[in-house]
Amino acid sequence: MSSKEEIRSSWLELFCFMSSSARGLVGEPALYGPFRLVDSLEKIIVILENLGMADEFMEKEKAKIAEKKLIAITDRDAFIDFLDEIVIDFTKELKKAQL
Amino acid sequence: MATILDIMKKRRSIRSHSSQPIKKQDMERLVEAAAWAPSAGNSYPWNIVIVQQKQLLRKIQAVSPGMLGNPTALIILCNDREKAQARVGSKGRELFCFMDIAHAAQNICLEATELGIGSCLIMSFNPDAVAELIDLPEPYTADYLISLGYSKGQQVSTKKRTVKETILSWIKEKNDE
Ligand SMILES: Cc1cc2nc3c(=O)[nH]c(=O)nc-3n(C[C@H](O)[C@H](O)[C@H](O)COP(=O)(O)O)c2cc1C
Repeated sequence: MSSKEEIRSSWLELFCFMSSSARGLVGEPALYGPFRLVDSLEKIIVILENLGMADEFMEKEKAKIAEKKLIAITDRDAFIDFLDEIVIDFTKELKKAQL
Repeated sequence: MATILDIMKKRRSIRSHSSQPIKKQDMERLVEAAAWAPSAGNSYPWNIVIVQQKQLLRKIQAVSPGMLGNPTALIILCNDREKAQARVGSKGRELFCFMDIAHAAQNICLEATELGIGSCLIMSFNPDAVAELIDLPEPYTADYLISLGYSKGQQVSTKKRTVKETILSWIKEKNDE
């Protein structure tokens, strides 16, 4: 991804995803909310990746989300365990970061 | 030869596909399968929009949070609810037209299975946004999406209810087995 136009388009794609998720979630099962949020996380990492701004940690998390998110459809408890896991993954990384 | 029940059992929601585009003759078979679905009052108040253009697929995916993976095609089932009203009354407009597209969708998914195409039914999408993106003419509404692509991924759900779990009651003559 190089041009300003391309970068703008990929953010627009995400904004459409997040706003249509917000609208849809008004009438959807509660668990779809967390699912859409982690799906958004994955999409944000993909954008950062295309901008050359994602590091090894982010790529690992992206792969983990892609691999495990669909468990939400069949196993609520396993999905919640997965959410717990990524919260700690991101928190450990934040702990090391300089804000 | 596979029985219809074999095909039904093989049909599962597939959310990962190969990048190979769906061939025209396969797509036409899917449409033919849809056309053979039943319809309340023989009204057929729906038509199909097919999308096989990468850019547009991405844009539709952006407003369809339930459209997962990387499908190469999309079938959009669109109702003309005015036609449903005119042909089968208010129930046609409020209920039957949706039942009709559900029957058509199941036919499409079963035929797709036979052709080695993975399919997934999608209701988590924004109908107004999809209509805007595909320039859907009035009075059609975009009511049901089916994502499609030659199968690559595995299904997610594995279990189905047994016959016993499915039946609520079976009311029959005393002497019948
Ligand atoms: C009315 C309806 C709406 C659905 N909407 C979605 C959707 O938005 N996204 C999705 O990935 N799957 C969707 N599905 C697929 C279901 O999740 C799937 O059929 C179910 O988990 C059973 O799995 P199987 O299709 O593999 O047998 C939908 C299915 C139906 C019938």
